[in-house]
Amino acid sequence: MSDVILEMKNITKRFPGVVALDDVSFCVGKGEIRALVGENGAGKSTLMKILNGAYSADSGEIWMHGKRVMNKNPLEAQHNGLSIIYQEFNLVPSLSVAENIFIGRLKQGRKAIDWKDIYKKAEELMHNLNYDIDVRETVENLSVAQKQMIEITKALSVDAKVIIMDEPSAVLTENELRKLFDIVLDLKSKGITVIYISHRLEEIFQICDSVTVLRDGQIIDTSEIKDTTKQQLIEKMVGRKLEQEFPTRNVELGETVLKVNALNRGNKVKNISFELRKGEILGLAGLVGAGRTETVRLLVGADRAVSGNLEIKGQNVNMKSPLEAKRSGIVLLPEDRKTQGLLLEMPITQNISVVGLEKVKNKFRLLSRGTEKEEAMKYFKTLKIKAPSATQRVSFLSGGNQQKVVIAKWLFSGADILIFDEPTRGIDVGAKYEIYMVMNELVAQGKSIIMISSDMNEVVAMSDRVIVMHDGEIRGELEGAEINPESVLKYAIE
Amino acid sequence: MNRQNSQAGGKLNYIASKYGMLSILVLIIIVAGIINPAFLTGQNIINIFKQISATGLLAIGMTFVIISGGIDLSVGAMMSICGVISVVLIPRFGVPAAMLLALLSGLVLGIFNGIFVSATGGTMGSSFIITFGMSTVLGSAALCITNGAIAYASKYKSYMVIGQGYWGVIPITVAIFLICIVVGQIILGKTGFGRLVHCIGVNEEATRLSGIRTRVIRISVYAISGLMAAAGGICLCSRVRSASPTQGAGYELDAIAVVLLGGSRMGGGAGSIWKTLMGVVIMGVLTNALNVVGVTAYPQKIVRGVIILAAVLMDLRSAKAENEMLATKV
Repeated sequence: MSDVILEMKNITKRFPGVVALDDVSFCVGKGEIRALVGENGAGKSTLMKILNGAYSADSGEIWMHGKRVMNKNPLEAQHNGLSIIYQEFNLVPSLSVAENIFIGRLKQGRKAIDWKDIYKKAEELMHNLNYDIDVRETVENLSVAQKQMIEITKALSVDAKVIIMDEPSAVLTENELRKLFDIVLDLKSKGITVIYISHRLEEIFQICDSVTVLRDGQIIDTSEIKDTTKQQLIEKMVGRKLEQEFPTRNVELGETVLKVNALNRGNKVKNISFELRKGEILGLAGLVGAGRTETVRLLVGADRAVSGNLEIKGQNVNMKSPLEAKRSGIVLLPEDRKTQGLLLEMPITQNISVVGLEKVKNKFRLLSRGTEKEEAMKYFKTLKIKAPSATQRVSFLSGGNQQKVVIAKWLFSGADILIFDEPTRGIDVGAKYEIYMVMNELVAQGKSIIMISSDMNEVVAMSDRVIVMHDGEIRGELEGAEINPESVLKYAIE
Repeated sequence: MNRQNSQAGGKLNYIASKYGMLSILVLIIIVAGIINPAFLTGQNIINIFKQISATGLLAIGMTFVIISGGIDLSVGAMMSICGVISVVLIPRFGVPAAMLLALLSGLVLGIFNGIFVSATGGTMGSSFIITFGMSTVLGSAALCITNGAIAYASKYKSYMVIGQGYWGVIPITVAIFLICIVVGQIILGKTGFGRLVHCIGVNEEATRLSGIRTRVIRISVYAISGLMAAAGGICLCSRVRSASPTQGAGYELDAIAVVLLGGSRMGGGAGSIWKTLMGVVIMGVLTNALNVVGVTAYPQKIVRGVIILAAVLMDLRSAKAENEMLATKV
């Protein structure tokens, strides 16, 4: 590899009870695109935060351009040529693109802000990168991909030599992803180093030069991308051999349990009709913004449909509120677990019992914490929830365990039809497998699942049947051998 | 950074936060008792409770509202108008019915608060604006009813029973306050409704999506606050034998202060009626102690204000300490 631009030597960082980073040495060359992979809790974000100056290391050194640097805070790291683009961007939604790019540097000395100059500079930067965004536009009107471009522009405007991207693709559609790849390759051609953190291994093979695997705070391996395979990477990440990425299942499909008739709401949900059978996993594929989430929100009464109706087991269902939906046994496990699925500041027990407080009352009609705990413990066993206790606050659980708590809650409510919106987003490779196992078990018990997923492999491997949406409409339905990435994509993008 | 040390510090903070308020209370009692032994007599203790019961009643309702993630600035004015109602209606309906109508008014006005807050998003911001508006309206309405004058109740003997009567050695007002504390704690800590009040304080949308009628919960919370304000108003009028249309002014801030002093969290999700009781007692003891040791009225407010500031700062630290303690368990 060419000359080294960034080197971390023997970095160790301890938190009470854990060694987050154990003697980590990390070295990356100029113009290299380096993937950094590892499960949640492997130490990726700690490593990045130390680089960025948000944390200080207990021991070890950071060298950039052959000089030792002390990144005491993010500003200093920026001065040293290091920028991080976080998953949830650091942009001010109500300000313009140009203002966001030059935020903190708008004013020179005592003079008033020279807006013409600011806009001109912003336009130049955009032009250099071949981006087509109006610098006077307000950021909140932009798409996620455009916001990402602004973050990249911002990084370059402070002359970043190393850009760290934390899960950049998680929020992008297929098209936007291709655009991102172009941008990253363009950065590389400009001699800028990119450290690319991602859970999606396919991407890494498409774009990165090399990959570093982190596990339990230690560097397990760094290798050229061409010398490794996805299987090898996963094994290194989880520290054991994985037989397969998706568990198999063998479930006999039963009668139709759900019938959706001509559902409409605005231009996101247009004339949607489909059926779901007992024991079935129905994949709902499509690009981000195709109207999938909007559709399922109507099914559970989170929003109200303008027209259309719903039959569950032959009965017409009123879907005007989540309460009615819960009573009919149809529930949603939202994509945004933290803000819509969970009461983060509350213990596991109370997150589960909230859907059925009647069931945890004692003979005086008062809540019984004992019963609550007993009920929660049942799901600890069946769903393999890992937590120190049933009264642990859910904010301290990993993504996989948080998802299991949401599943537990709806099982406790007695739901028969579970709608998973992106069931494994933000969840470790190892934990994903467990979620798939749980989903298989649920349908084996006679429940039915609708699964929205933007992960193509997940859709193809897990679904009995796939419905593809585009622009608020159902564009295609695939079954059995027809389900393959090409046909799903074909319907999704045209 | 030395994590080992900071962890030990965290533990200390955690313990301090758990028992901090109690130790402050004990400290105040000891110091006041040494300076003036009269402070520790049974009569004085009953006096303290008599003085705090009106604020205490408001604070019970306020605890519900604050845990649900809101705030109720209208309780002072609510107290005024309900007190006035309970006196001016006596000639037409008699004492018991007048009191019931006053309580009902508080309940209904509280429901209106709840409906408006809920309709404007149910956030802290909307509760602030709505209840502030309600406070202005009610404050003015109370003045209109009596034409700015004080409504005297001295001629209705039975009206004064609540404020001046005793059950054994315990003043009836104090008994009402203590009963409300116990009932309030059971509702908030032990019933499904109480749990849901906490839930909407943590995350209303997630609670709604869990199939809960969050609107009903939110409206109920303000209804309880209105009812308690009416009760506080009646107790106060009955004790002072008259209803002034401005008697409740400023009480809302006292109520908020004691709830926070007790350690319930502004912004919702955490707190309890026990904590509020602690806050009310500390404020009562402090005020009384300052009187007993001879501090005049003006500097008293400074001391009370400082105590509130200290309580809020301590609450911030303790929330952080609690987080760290829990996080390291994982």
